[in-house]
Amino acid sequence: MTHLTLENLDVRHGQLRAVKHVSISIAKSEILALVGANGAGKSTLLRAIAGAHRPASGRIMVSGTDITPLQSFQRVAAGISLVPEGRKLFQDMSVEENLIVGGISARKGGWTVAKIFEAFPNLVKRRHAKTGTLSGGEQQATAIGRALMSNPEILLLDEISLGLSPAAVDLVYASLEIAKAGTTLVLVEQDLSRAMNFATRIVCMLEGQFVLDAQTQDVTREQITEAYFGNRGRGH
Amino acid sequence: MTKPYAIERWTPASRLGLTGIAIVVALFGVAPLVLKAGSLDRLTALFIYIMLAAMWNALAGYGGLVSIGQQMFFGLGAYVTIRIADFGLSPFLAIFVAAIIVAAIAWLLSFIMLYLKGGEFAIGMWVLSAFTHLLVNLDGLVQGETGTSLISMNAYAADNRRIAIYLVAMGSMLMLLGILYALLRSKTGAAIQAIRDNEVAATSVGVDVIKTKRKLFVLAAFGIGLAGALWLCTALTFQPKTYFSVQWTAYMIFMVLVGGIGKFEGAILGAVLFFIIETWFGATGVWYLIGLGLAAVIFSLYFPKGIWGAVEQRFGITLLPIGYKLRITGDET
Amino acid sequence: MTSNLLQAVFLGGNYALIAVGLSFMFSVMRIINLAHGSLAVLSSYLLFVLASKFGINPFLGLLIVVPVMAALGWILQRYILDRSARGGELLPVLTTFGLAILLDNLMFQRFGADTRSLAPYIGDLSWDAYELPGGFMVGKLQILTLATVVVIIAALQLFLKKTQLGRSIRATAMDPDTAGLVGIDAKRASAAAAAIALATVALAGAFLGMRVTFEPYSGGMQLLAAFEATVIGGLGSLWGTLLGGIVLAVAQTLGASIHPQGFLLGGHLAFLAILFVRLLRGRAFVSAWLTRARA
Repeated sequence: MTHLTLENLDVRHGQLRAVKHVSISIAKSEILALVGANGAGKSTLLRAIAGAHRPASGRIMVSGTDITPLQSFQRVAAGISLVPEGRKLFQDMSVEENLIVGGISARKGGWTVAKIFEAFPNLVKRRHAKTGTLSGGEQQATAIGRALMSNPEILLLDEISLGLSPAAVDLVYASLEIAKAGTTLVLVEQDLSRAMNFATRIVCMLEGQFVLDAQTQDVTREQITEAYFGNRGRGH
Repeated sequence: MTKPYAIERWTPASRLGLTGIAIVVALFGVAPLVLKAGSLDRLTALFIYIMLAAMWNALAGYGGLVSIGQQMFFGLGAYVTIRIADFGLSPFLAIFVAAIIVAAIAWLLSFIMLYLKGGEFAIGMWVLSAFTHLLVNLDGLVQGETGTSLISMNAYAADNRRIAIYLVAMGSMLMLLGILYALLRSKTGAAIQAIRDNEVAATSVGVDVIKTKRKLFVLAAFGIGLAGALWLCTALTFQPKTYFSVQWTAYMIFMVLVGGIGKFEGAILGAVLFFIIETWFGATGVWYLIGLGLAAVIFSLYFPKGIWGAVEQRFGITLLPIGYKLRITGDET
Repeated sequence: MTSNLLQAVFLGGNYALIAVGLSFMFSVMRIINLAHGSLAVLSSYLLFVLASKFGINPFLGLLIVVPVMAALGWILQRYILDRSARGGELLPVLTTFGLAILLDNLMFQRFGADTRSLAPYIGDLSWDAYELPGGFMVGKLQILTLATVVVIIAALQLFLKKTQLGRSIRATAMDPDTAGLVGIDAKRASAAAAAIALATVALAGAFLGMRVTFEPYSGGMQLLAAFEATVIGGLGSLWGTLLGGIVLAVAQTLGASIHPQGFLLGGHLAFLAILFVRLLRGRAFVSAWLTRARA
């Protein structure tokens, strides 16, 4: 069943076309990893889906409903939640407050502040700490927790392992195992091994377009690397 | 091989503009021979408005410094003139000395004020103006709000004086516009453009932002100080309250906002419009001021580029080119 | 002198009351509203009309004027400031200054140049005083003002910390883009903040009118006092405005004791001195200055 659909999506930054005529259908509970070089348009695409950028043309549909006209905060209520690149926590607020804020437009669902602390036990002792004082891994956990608080159907994760130690990345991915139940996940990940281990489907972006789209088990590392550098690879 | 484009500064429209300006200046120059006393005084006021608008535009439009306290320099220009004339210097010399002193004061102040941001700078300047106003009131010569007058002006016969002030005002206006124009077309002009586009980026490519802003800040103080001194010459009386009134800045903002902020021609156009509006509606008193306030709100919300900005965008006309124009002469291939 | 200084602390409460709204609006929308003082004077006039025409006591009148001003704040943010702020950080300065000119002259058109006061409508509150231990006399109204501003600041802090709307406003103040991404309607939060700011402006206008006389052009001085208190206390800090208001009033009182015209001068001087010291301490300023000195 198609959950998230993009139809001929075009996103611009001023004169620059960051995302060019992109179309894709993502099924429910799919875990899709977006890979590609810096500036390929991955983050822009995620932000457009979350409503932070208005597309110049094209449509975004969730379960058959057109959500293109909705603003970012309305898309949260429609079930889309983004963990932004660089985490973007509210620095003057505590971990707990960040989580509470994440629940302001929450849909019905199982996530509560208590549940988040269960899923991210490393946050418990930092509950009342201002997020500016946290380690990178703790900040990332808080950002994911904040997004989960809205009980999203579609969770978008932008560069969640950026700047974290390998051990911290392991922790973050371990907790995502809990989050992925029943949720459609789209993640931007620079680390190809991580992406291939975690995702069920891999899409490679190059200069604003999809150049490879394949189920993870059907594609080799070499094929992805080729597509990544622009030697148009063929997915199946 | 010919290049498919040409870089030019002077377009046909701007050459025409230059000719037009020369004719207008010549006409203004001979005006005292034909115009009546009252009309001459009004034209002197127009020149002063153009000075004020051009200087506020230099500060806000080119320097990105919106000040609500420029009445400080207007008041100081008049006050320092009174002070110097009291020492026995001819009032016609005193106004220029006063303007230079005002510029020096601004240069000192710039070391503090230019580090304030946006709205802080705007109101900070207002506080400074209120402070200066109170200090001027303390001077025994001024006698507080009672004020005083430029007595030494009475040494000149009324008619000669009127014509002299008219010509000095015209000369001052042309001088200020000339200085600003030269500044904008100099290396500083390029720095100003870079700062306007992106202040952080300008800093990173080696533009000294504060130094560039300081030039504009000091120039604006000099010009507005001179305008205040000239206003004193025509009005003769000096009451601190009228000169240090925030109304002056309100006029400057109106003129620049309506004419076109950051447009050299815009400020002049705004001053001319303001002059016409004042001539026609000034007598309606408060409604006229309500109209000015309303116009400022509407222009800032819906036409932030002002009338000249709209004209330029629509027709691509520039009378006094500051940048360069790229003209495509041939096919790119 | 001690008595004067004590009076100054209470006077500072008045400045803090007018500064709270300005500071609050700045901290959320990053806009310094130049019509702030004029809006306070507008509130004084509204209360004056209610009292003189309809015999409504100004304290009861606040039940009308506070919601009216709050609604005005909402509209102001939604239809004017939000649009203006999208044009860059300088445009709101021009818009709100235009608004101040517009308001001042509309009030002049409607109410004329006569100075007004709310004092005649509040009975003995306008002149009655308590005697404190040590023989100091403090006006009841002054105590009420200071108490009001303390309650307002405490209530605002609590509101910002403990309520959903309060958290939404804080999140919007820190990062409007991310606030939207986590499900906050940033425009609504800003409008709510503006409504709250203008509700405090209504109170400031009420106490202004009870304490002194006002006229259509009183707004400018109110804005300056509010701005000075806000900057002295640290732009955007609510308790800071109380401290700033008191410092401003103490400086004015000291100024007046030195020279008969020193009241306002003292206040401005304190403001400029604090500004200077703060800039001197700011690293950007010092390093820029040092680079120049070395060059």
